[in-house]
Formats: sequence, structure tokens, C-alpha cells
Amino acid sequence: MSSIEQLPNEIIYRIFDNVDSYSIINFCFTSKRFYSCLNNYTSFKINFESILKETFDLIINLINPLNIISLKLNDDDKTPGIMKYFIKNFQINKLNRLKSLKLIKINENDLENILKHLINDPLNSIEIEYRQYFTMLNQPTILILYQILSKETLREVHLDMRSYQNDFIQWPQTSNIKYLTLIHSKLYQFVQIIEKSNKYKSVTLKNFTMKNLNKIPLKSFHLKQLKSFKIEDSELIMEIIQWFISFMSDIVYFKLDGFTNIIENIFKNDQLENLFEKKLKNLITFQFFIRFSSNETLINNTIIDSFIQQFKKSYWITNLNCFINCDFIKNCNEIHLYSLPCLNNSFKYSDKLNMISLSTLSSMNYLNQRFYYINQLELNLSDLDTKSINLKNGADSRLFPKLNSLKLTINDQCSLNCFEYLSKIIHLNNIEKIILIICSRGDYLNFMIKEFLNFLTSLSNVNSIEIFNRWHGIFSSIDIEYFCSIIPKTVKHLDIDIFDIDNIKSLIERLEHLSSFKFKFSFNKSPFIKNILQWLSNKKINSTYILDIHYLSIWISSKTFHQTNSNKRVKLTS
Amino acid sequence: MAGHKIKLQSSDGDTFDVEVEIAKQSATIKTMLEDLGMDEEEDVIPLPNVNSAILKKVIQWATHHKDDPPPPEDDENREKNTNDISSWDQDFLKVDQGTLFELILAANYLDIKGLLDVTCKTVANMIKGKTPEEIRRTFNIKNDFTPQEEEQIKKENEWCEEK
Repeated sequence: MSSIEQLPNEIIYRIFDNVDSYSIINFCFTSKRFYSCLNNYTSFKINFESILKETFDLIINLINPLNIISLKLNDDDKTPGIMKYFIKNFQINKLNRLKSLKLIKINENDLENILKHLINDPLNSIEIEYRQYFTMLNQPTILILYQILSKETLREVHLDMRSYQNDFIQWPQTSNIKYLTLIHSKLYQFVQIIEKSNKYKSVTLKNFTMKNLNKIPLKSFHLKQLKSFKIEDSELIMEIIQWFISFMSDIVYFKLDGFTNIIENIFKNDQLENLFEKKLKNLITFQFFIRFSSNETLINNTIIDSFIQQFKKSYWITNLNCFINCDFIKNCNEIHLYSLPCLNNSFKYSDKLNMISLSTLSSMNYLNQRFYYINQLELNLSDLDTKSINLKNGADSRLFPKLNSLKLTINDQCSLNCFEYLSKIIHLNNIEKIILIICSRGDYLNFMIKEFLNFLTSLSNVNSIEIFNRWHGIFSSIDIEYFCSIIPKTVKHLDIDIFDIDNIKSLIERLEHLSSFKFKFSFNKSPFIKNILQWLSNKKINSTYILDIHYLSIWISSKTFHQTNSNKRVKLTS
Repeated sequence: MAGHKIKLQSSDGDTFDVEVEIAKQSATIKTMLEDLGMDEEEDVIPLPNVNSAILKKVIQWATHHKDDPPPPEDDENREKNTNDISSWDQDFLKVDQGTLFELILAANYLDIKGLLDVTCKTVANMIKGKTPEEIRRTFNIKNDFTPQEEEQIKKENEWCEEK
């Protein structure tokens, strides 16, 4: 009979390759033998995204930087201030074996302070996205970035291009990069990049500006090794798409995901089919999602029918096995034209939705095909037809089984039982994030917020709550202590508008189980925030933060609340 | 040659007829065959580190996966999804822990990458998200820290606290 203790270390390490760092540490704490694995395992892949502060502190104290091969840091509102804290408290200069680095929502100073230590690392993958962007990078940062991008080992690059604001971008003359993703890039930048000697196998352009603002000549390139080309979240311009296709003859995968207000240009008279058939002989998969909305063109059934007819041709169905759907949402004069299964998993729902949907797939069941995969849903509670609340007994007609994020708007037109109705029409059990937008100043706001809080208790997996109540302070109509007592224990993040700065202290003290807060306030309140920071410091609260004139984001260790009595904060009592 | 078979002998002396192409998923057997030459059909390959019950399971796994495409090359830096255990493999690995660890040891000895990957992932999933005490209970690991040592680690790392 074998037990885990009989496995040699090489296999234990192989198991570790599939386990998160925190669980590895816990495993190593089980016995003396496994404790020794903690320092001998040399392939830690550490992802600090959405991590609890106390777990982060444990990991950076315990793991030898030399044993880390992959690192992800995200300065978003779940872990605000993590970059600065990491730079200050971790021996980055000892991270000599790093292969993969992801820095999300970083600012320029932090980027420079991290990258300057990693120029000699065997990096094969790097991802950089900025937290906010105002100006171009300074020359020293650009230079360091250039050195990193020039590394021979580098294979995968995911880069936020907002840092290159001038006409000329510093890009290596030759590179070994195979997987390239550019975010917020512009046409002339992309041209400069593909002009240089390259080995790109896969290129993704996200939030890409196709408009040829600089009027650069659209000459031909040869991307010899390119197999996959994706455009995501971008405004689509047919002329540019045609130009791309003209020199990407070897691609097997093509994805178009974006929006336009001249959709007829894209799917007109079999234009795309002719182009594909002529140029993209190796194409195996074509996936797309195109949102078309226009104030000028009034969409009618003829337009939709023409799309469907085009995609009924054998080129799409037989050659590419590409079936499409066309949704016409009459309420907002919008068309969603997409290949199946649908790439886009977010949806704006309303009971008043006036929509027709046509498909080239004869067995298409709209509810199954589209709604089934929706994970982000947006809805205005006043759009619910709560009169139909008396659903048949036993019949579960709930929609969106994969729903993960729910954004709700309440206003004065909502019926009082809208939350009750909501829980009968959608699946709530997988929701992790809930966003509430309050557009109500009515007398019954107090009642609606109580209903919302009550609704929260039915979400068993919610971990993030965002409340937008910029115009109507909720703590004037609802007791803050009651509010805190209702927030489920699963919640780790709260994002809320604050009118009385002292509410910040109350929320931090009462919501001990939360890992991060974002407090938004009007700019005239910002001078008072220094009192809060002083208070955090006086209380020796283990925390980091990011402060802006409109918000304070704080990341707090729960250890703050469990330490010795001298550190323990006095609880407020009513 | 399709259907060409070889004999594998387990540690308890049983022999199993296995198609060469199936057996070759084991890099160890593949090397042995290439070193031995493949003509002599009567040759028996002894596998002294694998018992009959486990060898039977390994052959079952290799038979199911014989037509799998080879693992993609040069995707060194593509992120691997650790939860991607096929439903057939999940069912196949619904075994007691002893069998699971013996399968790991056999996959390691026979050098069958796919089987080693999927068994290691299965164990990984049993570790994830657990506290040290829960992991000890799961795998029946004896806590051999002295109370002083344990106190020391706890103090340094403040682990095991209620989250």
C-alpha cells in the first residue's frame, strides 16, 4: 500500500507544478520531510492576483526569490499598493530565474523599479498593463523595456501600448517573440512592429485603433509564420481588415471581435467570403462577434435577412463549419452578428427586450445557445415585468446558469418586489461579483437598499460588492451597523461612495473579513483622507493603499484584527 | 506494423500481450524495444517495478489514449490549465489513494508522460485550498514536528489560523 510519503521528491515537485503557492506552503507545513521541500522546490509560479494580504505576506517571507520562475502582480482595487510594497519588501534583485512576469495596473515608476532588476533574467513571457495612463514613458523606462523586449529568450509578449505616444516606437530589430498581444495600439505602431524581422505565430490586437490617422501607406508585409490573428474589442474598419487579410495568407485561425456603425461594409455582397476564399486558403476557424449600432441607419429585417443568406453559403457552412446568429435588438437599434458558439458572454437583459434572432443553424435554440454561456449580466430593475411573478410551481425557468457578475440599476420606477422576482428568473449560485447602481432618490430608497441587502444573503458565492451611490448617500437612509452586519462573510471586496469620511473607519472596523476596500468621494473630501491614513498608521493596521483625489483603495491583512491585544482595535459599539 | 504485439511481464510474473503501438507510449519500453530490436516476438519485457493490478490499469489507460495526438511542441510558455482532466481520466482515476500513488510510480518508471501528468494533477487537486491539518487528514501524513518546532513555525508564519 503506497502513501504520498513514499513518493520521491521529484514526483512531489511535479505535483507542486499544478498547485498554487499558498497550498504548496500548507502542504510543506504537514511534516518535517515536506518542510524541506519548501526550499528545494525550484519552480514556484506565484500569482498574487486578488490574494489576501496575510497570504501575500506569508509567501514573500517564506519563498526564496531564486526559486520563483513565474510572478504575477496586479495593482487593481483588490490588492491596491501591492507593487510598491513588493518593491520595498522583496529582494527583487534576487529574482534571477524568472521566466514569466505579469505586471497588471502598474505605474511607470514601479515598472522601472521592477524591470531594472530583471534585465538578465531568462524571461520568456512578459505582460504589462498600466493602471492609468496620462503621458508617455520616460526615456530610462523605455530603454529598460526595450532591453527586455530584445531578449533572445522572449517568446510571449502582452503589452499595453499607451506608453508609446510618439511616432517612433522603440522595438527590437529582430526578435524571437512568437505570441504577441498589443493592447491600445494604433495602426502605425503595428506597422512599425511587423516591419521588423519577426517570428510571430500568433498576433492579438486588443482595443486596436484601425483608423489610419497618419495616412501611412498600406503596403504588404509577409508574416511567414503567422497562424493565428485576433482582433478584440476594437472598432472594425473593412478597408483595414481587407489589408490585414491580404498579407496573412497562412493563418488557420482568424477572430474578429468588435463594433462598427457601418456593418454593411463588412458583410456586403459576399465580399468577405470572396476575400477569404481567395486569400486565406488555410483558414480552419473563423470566429467573430460584431456589434453594430447606428443613429443614422434604421435597421430592418431585410438587412438581417441578407446576413443570414450570405452565411448560408456552403463556403461558411461546409468549408469553415461556421454557423452564425444575428440578433436584432429593436429597443436600441442594435445588431449582434456572431459565429456560434458566441464569443461574447455579457448581456443587457430586460423583460421589455424586443429582439428577433435568426440563425443559420436550424436547430438553434436561442436560450440555450446564447443565454447559457452568459457570465456577465446587466439589468435595470425597473425593466422587470414583476407582474408575471407567479411562475408555475416547480418549473425552474431561471436563465443564465453560468452567471458570474451581475450589474443592477435601481431607480424610482422599480417595483417593490423586484429583487424577489429577480431571484426567480436568474441563477444566483455562481455570482461572485455584484454591482449596484442607485439612481433613486425616492422615499422608498431605504426600503430598496434593505431589499438589496436581503438579496445579498441569497448569493452564496459573492466575494465582491460595488455600490455606486454618488448622488445619494446610503448611510443617511440606512444604519451603517446594520449594513455591515448583513454583508455576507464570503465578501472580500467592497467598493462604495462615501460622504462622511468617518464612515471609512466604521466600515474598516466592522467588516473585518474584508481584504480590500475602495472608498470613492468627491474631491473636496480628499484633504480629510490624511486623517484616515494617520488613523491606519496609529492603529498599526497592516495595510497598503492607493490614493487618488477621488478615491482611496486599501488592502488590509485580517491579521490586523487577530494580533496581540495591544494591537487589537477597539470595536465601535452602537 | 499494426496489431503487432509484445509481452509485458509484471513483478508478480503475469504476462500481458500488448500492441506495440500502445506499449510505446511508455518511453521506457520504447527504448527497450529499440535496443532489443523488434523482430523477436517471443521476447518478454520484464517490468519488475510494476505489479499485475497496476500494469493492467496502465495498459487500460494506454489503450484508451493510443490515438491521442502528440503533445504540442514548443508551447513551453503557454499557460496550462490544471483542471483540464478529461472525464474519462477522471473516472479512470476514481481509485483508492494507494492505487493512485502506485500508478504515479508506475507512470514515472515507465516514463508515460500523459499518465504521469494526469495522476499528478489529480493529487494536486486534492491539495489545493486545504490547511495543513486538512492535508494531513487527506493523505494520512504523520505530523512529526515536535510541539516546540510547531510552535516556532506557527509563530514565524502565523499559519493555520482561521481564514
